[in-house]
Amino acid sequence: MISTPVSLPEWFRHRGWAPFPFQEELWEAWSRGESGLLHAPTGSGKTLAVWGGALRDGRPAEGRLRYLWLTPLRALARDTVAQLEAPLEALGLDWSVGLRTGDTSSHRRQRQRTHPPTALVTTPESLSVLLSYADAQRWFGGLRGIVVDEWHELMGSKRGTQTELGLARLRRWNPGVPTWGVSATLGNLDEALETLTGGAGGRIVQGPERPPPELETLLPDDAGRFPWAGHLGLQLVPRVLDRLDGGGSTLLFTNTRSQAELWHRALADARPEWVEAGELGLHHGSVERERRLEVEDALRAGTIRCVVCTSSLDLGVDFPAVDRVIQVGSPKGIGRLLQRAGRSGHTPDGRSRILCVPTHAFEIVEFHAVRRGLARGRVEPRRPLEQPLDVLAQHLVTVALGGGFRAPEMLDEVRTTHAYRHLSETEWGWVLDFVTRGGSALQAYPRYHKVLADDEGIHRVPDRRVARQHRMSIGTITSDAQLRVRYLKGKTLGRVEEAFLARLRPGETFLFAGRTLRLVRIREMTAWVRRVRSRTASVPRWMGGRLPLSTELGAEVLETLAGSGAGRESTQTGPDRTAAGTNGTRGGPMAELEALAPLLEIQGRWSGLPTPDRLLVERTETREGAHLFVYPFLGRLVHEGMATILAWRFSQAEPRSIEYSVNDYGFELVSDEPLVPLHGWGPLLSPEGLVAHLLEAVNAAELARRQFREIARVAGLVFPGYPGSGKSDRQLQASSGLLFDVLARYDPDNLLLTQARREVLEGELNLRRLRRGLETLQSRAVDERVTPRLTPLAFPLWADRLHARVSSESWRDRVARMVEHLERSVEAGE
Amino acid sequence: MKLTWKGEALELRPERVLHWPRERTLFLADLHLGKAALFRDRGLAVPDGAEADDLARLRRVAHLTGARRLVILGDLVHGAGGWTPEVVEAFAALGAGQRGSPEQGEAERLRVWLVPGNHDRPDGPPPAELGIERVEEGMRLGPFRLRHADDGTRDGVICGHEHPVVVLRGRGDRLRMPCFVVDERRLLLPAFGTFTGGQRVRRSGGRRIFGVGEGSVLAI
Repeated sequence: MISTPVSLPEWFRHRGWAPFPFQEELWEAWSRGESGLLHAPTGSGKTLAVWGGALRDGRPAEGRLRYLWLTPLRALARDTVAQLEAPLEALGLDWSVGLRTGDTSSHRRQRQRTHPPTALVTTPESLSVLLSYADAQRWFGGLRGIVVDEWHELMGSKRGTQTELGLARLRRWNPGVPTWGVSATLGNLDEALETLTGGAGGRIVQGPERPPPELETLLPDDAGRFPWAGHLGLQLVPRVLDRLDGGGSTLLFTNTRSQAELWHRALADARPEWVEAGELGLHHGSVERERRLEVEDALRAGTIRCVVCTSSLDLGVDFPAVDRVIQVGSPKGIGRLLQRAGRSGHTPDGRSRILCVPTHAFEIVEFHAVRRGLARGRVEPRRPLEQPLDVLAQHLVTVALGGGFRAPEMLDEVRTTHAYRHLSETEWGWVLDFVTRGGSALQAYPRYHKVLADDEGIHRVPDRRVARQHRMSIGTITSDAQLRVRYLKGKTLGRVEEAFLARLRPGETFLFAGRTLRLVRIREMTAWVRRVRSRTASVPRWMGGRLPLSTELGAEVLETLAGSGAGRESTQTGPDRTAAGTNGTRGGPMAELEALAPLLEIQGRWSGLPTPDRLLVERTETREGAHLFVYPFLGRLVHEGMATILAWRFSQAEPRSIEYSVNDYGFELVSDEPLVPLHGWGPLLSPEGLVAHLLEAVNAAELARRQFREIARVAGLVFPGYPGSGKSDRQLQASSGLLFDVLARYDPDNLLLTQARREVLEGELNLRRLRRGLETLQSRAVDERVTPRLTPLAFPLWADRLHARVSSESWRDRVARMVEHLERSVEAGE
Repeated sequence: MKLTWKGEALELRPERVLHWPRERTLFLADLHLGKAALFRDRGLAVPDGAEADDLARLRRVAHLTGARRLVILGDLVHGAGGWTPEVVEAFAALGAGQRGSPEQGEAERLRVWLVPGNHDRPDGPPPAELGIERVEEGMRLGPFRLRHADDGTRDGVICGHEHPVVVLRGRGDRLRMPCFVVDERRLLLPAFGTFTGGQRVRRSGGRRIFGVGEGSVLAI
């Protein structure tokens, strides 16, 4: 205990640290009242770097809220509070740090209202709720600094837009308040800064440069026999176990929750003693919060050997005890691998290490491509959203509750955000009309008014019931209806999407939270289960599980293939040299290419290898019909659009039925007769007429109807209900699909419908990337090959399409037969 | 779509009603009148128009078929406060249009029966001036039993409550429509109201599904 207060640099010295130059740069800038963005990876002292700016100021709090700290994850908030509190006493600061999330008890919330902490750690949703209280201005009016942690994570989503609007409000009450964001590596840091500060700009402080992480790829013993498709990768479990046996703490990342369940099961089966000793954990977004916290505590204490996890542990404070990170399956993006590798990094040389476990042969290419991208410093950008009107509608009601607003001033404030900087008078007028009178279609109903302008022209919410309802529904993240999974004895295990459980009948078993469970019954949003010993069980498939390959990584994959020369890496390829020490060793870049060589050799011999300037197209015929394979390497979402467009354009030339399937490398079209371009490939792949053809080809109305689900909730068109109130609000339940139909018919000019259509084009159909993709293809020469059988690139597409169509049992049989057949062809030297 | 069931010739109509020509009777269920208004009262911006269209459709089908009896199998209104002035007025207009002039005899009057549904109960009886006659759940009419919700056992049940819809999938396409579901024992009606959700029904042995599309009824 230090009795006399010390200065911040002294405090650092006491702990045996020296402030980094970037920390001092940020403190100085903060003192001058500047705003900005700190670019720093996790575990680099970023929290202190930013908090130091406030600490140096050190003025007494005078019983008011002075600092606001926003974080995307509740789980992070808890640890952040501890980090912010740590130096206070030594520095002799009589400050308090408060926590406010959806989990905070109402008692504590009440106390915060009357006795604000000096610094408050909270989430964007909770900030919105705080802004909706009538005394919000008084409460937030004395801010001296705002920090947005993990800004890269928030920025690209509606939660990011919600944050932008919240910050605009706080800036109005606290003009010029220093605002600092913290971001991991992004391809568009400048845009991230603009978005954070509402166009005011600021300083980008560069955190410590870290050497790129060291990648090691776990290569199968016989790459030639390694599967060409699939996504579980359990073949390499024994090899992974070898590493885990060595001790230490490991984070094992998978890409989906289903895959996490399966890996956890496989490891538990092989090492039951670890389960007994509590050394094996499972952590993903559906596991009950209490269980997750247990795992996190064990990680912090270093008492756990391995945690199988998903992106649920991508972010957050460091677990210093973690000394190894394993990535199962391709990370699909360079930034994601960087983030995950950074979860370890306490090696003496400060370099983080990650072990990459491919689940099928081509993932070795992807790991190699990530390695190349990292060496060149190529990382994906994340784009902030443009003008989502649903978020604005929600925010206007929030502000109307939180003291009210005058329309012209509010428009000015909204336009200071990056998202709404181009908001037109018409759009503003529509949103205002929507929250006051429900839009043009409701004008005949005087009883409807959510927000009402009073005599002085201040917009407020007069109805207390509406107010309560609105606070309940604040938040922009939507998900499917979730059922709680609970033992008959009472313990809750977590939540699973209703869509999965609806397919199960009582008595059937499934794998969840690392246990095999038998469904007993479903009643009132709870699935009651019993634990069983059975080995066979289905695994829940969660929605939105699969991430598409990023454009950047796709380009690196193509270049890798081009440079491979069917196995021979050109000696001039610079990037790999940077990974010097490991270059020739097992699991290094050369070993990856060696492992790939047989596969690429077959691909090259049977067909060809795609390159950045050559678009590979393959044709082959089977009993099923004529197959056409195209490999642009632009990621699954873009391929989905391309396949749709191409199928439509072929069928316009000649009516016929075409089936298709897509993956991250390309797509397949199947028809009875060969699909031959009548006027060359040019017009088929042209970006001309893209939107019109796309709208003709897909049922855009149906897609927009699905997209409307989220919009309707955010904009306050549907009411999610009070927690625990069960059926009492049944009368207010309407599906968003039904609302979409009613609006489309009786209020066709509703801009929320326009937004749904736009989100479908931009989001689901990925119009911007699709157009750019087609433009890219214009510059590639089409290399058309007729192949005698399915090539290594074609096989996964074929298998996936089959999977979608037939029952899983017969699918497995057919794929196994096919693999055997293809292998025989290889052995026969064809 | 004509159908013989329990020995009676029936007609499944695209207006989402069941027509029994011999008795000049129409059956319908689940109008949920006042639902949109209830939403608006609670600050949820749902436009109207659906309700007016529903009532217009009801008038039209009553006129076209020359029906003299309208059997509403429950959930006429949506909930507390469902009998809004708009609804009362609209419903009164429906009755007036069909009741004919005072010179016409009692036989020509359109009688409206209501089997109360779960949504009707909190509101007490509909306003007396509408002349709606309440009948008990399970009442017999010819070979039929009139119910709001199926009891799962009795024979010849005509009912609503479930809001059945059927989903058809094509290549990249998906079509969802209300439907009639008919099996040996019961005949389930689609929800008459447009602003009502639905429960998906699947095909299974011994059950026939008739989807209601734009102006026609299709056997699925």
